Amino acid sequence: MPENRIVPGQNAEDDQRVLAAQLKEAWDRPVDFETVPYMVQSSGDVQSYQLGVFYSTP
Amino acid sequence: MNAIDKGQYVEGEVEVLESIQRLPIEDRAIIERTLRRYNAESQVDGYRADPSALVQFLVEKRLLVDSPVIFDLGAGPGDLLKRLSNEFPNANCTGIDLARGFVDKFNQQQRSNARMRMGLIDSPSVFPGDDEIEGGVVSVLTLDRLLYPRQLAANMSRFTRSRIIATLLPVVAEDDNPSRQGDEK
Repeated sequence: MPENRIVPGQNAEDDQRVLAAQLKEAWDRPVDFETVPYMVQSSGDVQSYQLGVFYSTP
Repeated sequence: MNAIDKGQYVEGEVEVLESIQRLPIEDRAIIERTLRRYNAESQVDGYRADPSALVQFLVEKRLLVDSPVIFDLGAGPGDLLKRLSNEFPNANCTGIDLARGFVDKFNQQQRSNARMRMGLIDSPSVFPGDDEIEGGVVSVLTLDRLLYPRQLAANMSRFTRSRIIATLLPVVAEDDNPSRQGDEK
């Protein structure tokens, strides 16, 4: 449902920026970002993605 | 839901079903459909994730090194949790998922490992109360699947150590993407 969304979901740059801000507010901590590859095998096909990783430490 | 015979459900399942009944009717339809699909997916072994690069990243950044417990919210079959358990042998590792099939299968596989367990998302003994949880938390590829993604962020704020969300960008919500909803309407 659109009203439940945490980010606009239109492009990666906007979502990265908005999500980092949302998490910083929800977690009350600085939030860092990096990308890492991620492989998924489904029905014999292997697909590779780039995951956006948002992380915070105490 | 008053007539539920609780004996036929695993811990947390009644809470999940009762939570669904309290949702607005449109949300209820979405999550009931999703729950059926995830339970069907959990019955087959056709999907495997390789989280090696993510695990390497977490290790290199030392994000979970001091966590006495590590939670994986939306753990699916538990592939990431098993890898984290190997990398952080002093931590108790707990997964949470919505699909009873994943939970049952994981707990059966790990029944001899006291450090590993998985529970349904509303299991009171697995994810109890409102208190802080002394540990770290990860959630991978869940933001696009959740009906209430802000609740995930709020739940993660209860953990005192590292908090990690990994997602595809942009975050295209599953209920906006019919090709990912399966054949069931």
